[in-house]
Amino acid sequence: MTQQDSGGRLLVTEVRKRFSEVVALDGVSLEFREGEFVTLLGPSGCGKTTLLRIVAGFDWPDHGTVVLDGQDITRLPPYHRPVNTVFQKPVLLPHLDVFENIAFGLRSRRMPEDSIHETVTGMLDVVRLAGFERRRSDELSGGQAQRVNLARALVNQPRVLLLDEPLSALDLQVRMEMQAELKRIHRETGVTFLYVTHDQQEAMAMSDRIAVMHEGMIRQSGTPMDVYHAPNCYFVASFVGNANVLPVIVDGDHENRNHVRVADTDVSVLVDDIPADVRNGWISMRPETLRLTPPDDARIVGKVTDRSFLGAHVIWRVDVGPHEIRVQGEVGGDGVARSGDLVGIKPDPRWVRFLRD
Amino acid sequence: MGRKPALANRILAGLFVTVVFVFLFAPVLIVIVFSFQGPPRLGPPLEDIGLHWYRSMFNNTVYMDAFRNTIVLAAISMVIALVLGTMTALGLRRASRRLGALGNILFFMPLATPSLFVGLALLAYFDTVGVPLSHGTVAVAHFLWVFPYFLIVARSGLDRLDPQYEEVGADLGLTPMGQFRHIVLPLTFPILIGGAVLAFALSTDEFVRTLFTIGPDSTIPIVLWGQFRRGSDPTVNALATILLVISITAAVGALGLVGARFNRFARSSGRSRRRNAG
Repeated sequence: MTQQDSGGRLLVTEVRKRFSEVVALDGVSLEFREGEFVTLLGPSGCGKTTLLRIVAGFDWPDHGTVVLDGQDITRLPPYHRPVNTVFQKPVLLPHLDVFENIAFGLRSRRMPEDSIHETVTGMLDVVRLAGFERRRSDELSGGQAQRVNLARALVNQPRVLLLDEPLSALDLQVRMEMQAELKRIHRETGVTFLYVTHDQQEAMAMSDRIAVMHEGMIRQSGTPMDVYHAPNCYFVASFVGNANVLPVIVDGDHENRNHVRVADTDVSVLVDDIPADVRNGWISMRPETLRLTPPDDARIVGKVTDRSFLGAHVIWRVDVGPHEIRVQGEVGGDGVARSGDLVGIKPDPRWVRFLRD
Repeated sequence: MGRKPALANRILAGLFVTVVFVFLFAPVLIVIVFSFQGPPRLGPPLEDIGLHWYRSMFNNTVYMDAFRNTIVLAAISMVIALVLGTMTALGLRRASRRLGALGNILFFMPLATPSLFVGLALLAYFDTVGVPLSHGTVAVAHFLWVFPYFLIVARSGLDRLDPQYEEVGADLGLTPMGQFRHIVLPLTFPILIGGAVLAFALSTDEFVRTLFTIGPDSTIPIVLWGQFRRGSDPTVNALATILLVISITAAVGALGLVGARFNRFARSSGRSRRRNAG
């Protein structure tokens, strides 16, 4: 496949969608740059699939617009949109073989037979399925079926490729392999990817940008690094990765507003960027940014309740007052503390985030 | 030791199945066998084997007219049920749950209505609106009879079709009409044909509604009924055998056609669309 040179700038503005009593999307705006890999990440029911279906044209929004390369496509039926979808279930048409499934969109656009053969064969190479032309859907593994699904969408040269949890039905190993494949194909085709998933590892591994969704709204949109290390709210911090999110109180009479007190303890933590008018909120600390120290060196002191060896690293669970803090460390480094030990926890102030809601 | 009860069970099961099959097929076999009986008797013993009653049937214009009427009537009601029933099933599939339930009640009500009542009602209705009884009126009656059956079969097929298949079609550029032709139809036509064969068969031996709405003509069931009122005629054995052969051929042929087409669909649909593309 050659690099696509035209289009793929998608602008979703103030989109709202309600299904009878349920608000699926509550004013979502998002911009997709040409050739960008954007992931909508969120738990089930957050509206991410609804947003994908609105871009695909399967659902129309109650309010708001979808603009693709300057053209308003909000009310265009799916068969007139220059976008294609990779569905969650690999719904290959069971009455057609692999070749005909991939050729389907080209045939419905009346492409001449010679070009169809050439294009489909080229696409089979891209998804590494050369030689599978005459297989049927029941003769393919889950990963192979999903490759056909991908080829069937990509072969139409969509300006935006929509992927609706395409890997969720696959085994872990195949899933990892397909993640690498998707990244490669994205790089080689240069098509804008809109990817929907509830799997934060998947989102991290592949995306240029992640939009974290919750209850029909986008809570945070940024690079995987931003979203992981600089979550902007309680939801993002606790959904993405496995952060320690603790309720804190900002003691207003402190001269120095760089400290917060963890609720129900006398532990204080150094934090940057506390907004002026805030009295309480949350702090988020990633387990791998914390370090165990001897108890008398640290402001945070607690008792180890569990130590799990996970191969590459160790996770300690430490009770600090009514809260549990997880600390991740390297094997053989500070890996000596055991259950029952009293330990200190040292956060790296660069990675401690204050969250107001 | 352990094998003995299992063996006994198997023998019992085999015996039971044999009895059921004898029960099912013995009457049919008797009809077939005695259709080759020589004149002039209807029952045993079997003597003078030959095609006497077949000749008698083909020479009997009453039978032959009735036979033609039956087939034409069945074909017409089948085609109308096939077209309207498929459209109805497609519509109900998209309807809301409440509308779908209402549709079920209204469309399937004729199944629960006594045929005598329907026959009388149709007769009274045609009389009131001033339509003389004819092939048309009996075709209406037969359509009303076979339509719910076809609809049940068609809905069972279409409702099981994952709507995502049509979304795939739409996504790949097919308009709703194209989705029907290239996706819904190829995936459901075995069931639609099955429903059509059922409709044909139901029309063929419908009696009560036919009696009330047919007017001066006859179908096979009407003729047989009249015949048996006057006493038995061994020609009916020949007639029944011919009907049996036709219906079995139709059913097996339809199934075979369905199977063969289903297996070769990729190629043939590819070819037909290739023609369009060229």
